[in-house]
Amino acid sequence: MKNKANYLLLLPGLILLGLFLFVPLFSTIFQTIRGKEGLTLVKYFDFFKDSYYISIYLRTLKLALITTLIAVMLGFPTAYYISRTNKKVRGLYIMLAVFPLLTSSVVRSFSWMVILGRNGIVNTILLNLNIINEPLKLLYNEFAIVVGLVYLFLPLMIMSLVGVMENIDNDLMEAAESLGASRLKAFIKVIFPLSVPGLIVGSVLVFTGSLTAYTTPQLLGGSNAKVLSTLVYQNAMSLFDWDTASVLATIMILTTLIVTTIINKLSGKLSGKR
Amino acid sequence: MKNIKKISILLVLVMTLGAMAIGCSSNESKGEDVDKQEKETLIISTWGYNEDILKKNVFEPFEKKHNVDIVLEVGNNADRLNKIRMNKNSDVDIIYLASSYAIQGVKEGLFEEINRENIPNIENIYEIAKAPLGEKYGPAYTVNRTGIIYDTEATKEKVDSWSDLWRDEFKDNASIANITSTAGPAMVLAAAKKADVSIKDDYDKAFEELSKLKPNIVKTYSRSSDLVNMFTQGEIKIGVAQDFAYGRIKDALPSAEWVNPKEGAFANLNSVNIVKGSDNKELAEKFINFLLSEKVQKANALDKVDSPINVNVELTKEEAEGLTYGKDLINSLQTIDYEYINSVMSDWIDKWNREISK
Repeated sequence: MKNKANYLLLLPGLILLGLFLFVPLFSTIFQTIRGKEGLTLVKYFDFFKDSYYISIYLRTLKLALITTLIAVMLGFPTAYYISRTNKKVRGLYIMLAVFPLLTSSVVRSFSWMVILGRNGIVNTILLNLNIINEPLKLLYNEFAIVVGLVYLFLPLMIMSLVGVMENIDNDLMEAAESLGASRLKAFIKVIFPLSVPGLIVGSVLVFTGSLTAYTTPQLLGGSNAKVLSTLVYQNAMSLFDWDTASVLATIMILTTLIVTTIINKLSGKLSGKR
Repeated sequence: MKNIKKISILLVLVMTLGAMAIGCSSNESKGEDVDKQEKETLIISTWGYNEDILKKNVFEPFEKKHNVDIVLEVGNNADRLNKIRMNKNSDVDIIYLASSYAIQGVKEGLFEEINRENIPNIENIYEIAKAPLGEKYGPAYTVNRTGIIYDTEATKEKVDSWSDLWRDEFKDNASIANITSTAGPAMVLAAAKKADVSIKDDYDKAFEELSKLKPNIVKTYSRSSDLVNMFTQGEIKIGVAQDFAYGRIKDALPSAEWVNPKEGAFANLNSVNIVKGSDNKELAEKFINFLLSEKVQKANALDKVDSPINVNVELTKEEAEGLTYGKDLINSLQTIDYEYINSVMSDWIDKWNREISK
C-alpha cells in the first residue's frame, strides 16, 4: 500500500515528461524514419554521405569536446579549492562561481564581443604592451565559440564537482598520508576517484549543453563556424524543411546519448570500480 | 527491475492519455471570448523595430479614431509567417512582411483577398507599391533599399559600385547579409552583376564570384543589429545593408557613409496583408488605408522609421536624408523578382551554405 502511494507521487512529473518531452520527441524521430514505403533510414544515410554535413557534424563534436575538456581542467582545481574552504566562505565562492548563470547567454555573448573584438580589451592590452603589432583575430571564429561556451558552462561543472567533493572526508587524505602516500599520490588515489561521479555529471551537462548551444555559436561564430544547432534552426525556420531539421535533431540526441555512455564507461574505469 | 517496469508502464499510460488529450483539445477552446465584445481587437503581426514610434504615429491614433484595441505580435519575417502557416486558426488579422515572405504567403493561400475600393489611398501611392503581390492582395506601405555602408575614414578610395566589396583592402573587413535574411538574395544579384552574367541564365557564375569575396567576409549577419554592432566595434569597414540600419550606424560611427551603388541599389517592398480567417476584415482594410494616408506616412518619414510611399508626402532635403524618397530614386532602384528567387531559393541556400558560410 505504501509503495503504491509512492508511485502516485511520481505521477505529476511523469505526466509533464510524457506530454511535453516524450510525445514531441517521438513524433520528431518518427518523422525521420517514415518513408514512402514503410520505415527507412535513407535520410540518415544521405546525411552521412554528404561531406558538408560531416564537416559540420565533426566541428560541432570537436567544439563540444574541447569545451568539456577545458571545463574539466578549469573546474576541477576550482571546485577542489572551494570544497576545502570553511562553510561561510564556501557559500560566497559558490555564489561567485554561479554568478555568470544569472545573466542570459545573449548578454554574456555580447560581453565577449567587447572583450575579444578588434578594438576589444585583449587586443588593446596586447597592442599597448607591444606584444603584437596588429590586432589578433579573436572574434567570429571557433576560438571565440569555445571561449563563450566554457564561460557559459563552467559553473555547471564547478557546481557538480563541489557537490561531490564537499562530502569527501578530510580525514581520508590524512589517513592516506599517514600510511605513507605522498600528497600528490593521495590526491590521485583517493580524492580523484571519489570525485568521479561529480566529474561525470559535470561533463555530461557541459557536453550536452555545448553540443546543442545555439546563441553562442550564432553570435560569436563567423561565417565559417556553422554548427548543428544553427543548421537545425536554418532548416526549420528559413527553409521550412522540417524533415532535415528532425534528422539533424535526432542525430544530435543520439550523439549525446552515445557520448554520455562513453563518458560513463570511462569514468567507471577511472574510479576503479569495475 | 520491478520498479523500472512499473514506471515504464505508467509512462506509456501517461503518454496514451496525453495523445488523447491533444486529439480532443482543439474543439474545446471556443465560447470564452463572448463577454469582451464591446471593443473590437485588431491583432497585428509586425517587426519589433521602432515599436514605440510606430505606436505613437500609427497604432494609437488608429485606436482612438476607430475605438479599437490593437495588439501586436512581434518577430522576424520567418517566425511570424511560420506562425500563421502552422496555426490556420490564429487570431492575427494583419501581417506586415517583406516581399519574399509575402509572396510565399500568397502562394500558400494564407491571405484574404482585399477589396481595393475600401482602400482609396492606394491611388495615392507609387506605382511599384500598388500591387506588388497582384491586384487581389495587399499593397506595400514602404520601400527600402539594399545598398552599401562603409567607413570613409578607414577606406582609401571612394566606394561607388557593388564591385568595390571585392577590393583587397577590405580583407577580413566586410560583412554581407545571410542568404536567408531580407537583404540576402540581393547580394547574389550583385555578384551576378560583378561577374557580368544574367542571374537566370547562370547563377553558378554568381556564386563563383561570391566565393571570391570570402576572404573579405568576417561574418554573414542575420539581423541588422549585428551589422550595427560590427561597425561600432570596429570589426568591419564595409557592409551590405538595408537603409533603415544606416541611421543607427551613422550615430555610432559618424564617418560612415551610405552608397547607392552605380549599378543600382535593390528595392525591397514591405507589404501589409489581411490574414485568412480574420474576423475583422473591414476594420483591417480601414487600417491599411490609414497606414497609407499622407499623414501617417509623413509622420513615419519624419521619424525616419519608414520611407514614404505616398506620392503626396513632401519632405525637405534634410528630412529626406537616409530615406528612400522621391520619384527619381525610387525609379532608379533595381526590383527583385522574388517569384523567381523563391523558386530557386532552396538551391541557393544550399550553395551558400557550402560555399560561403560553412
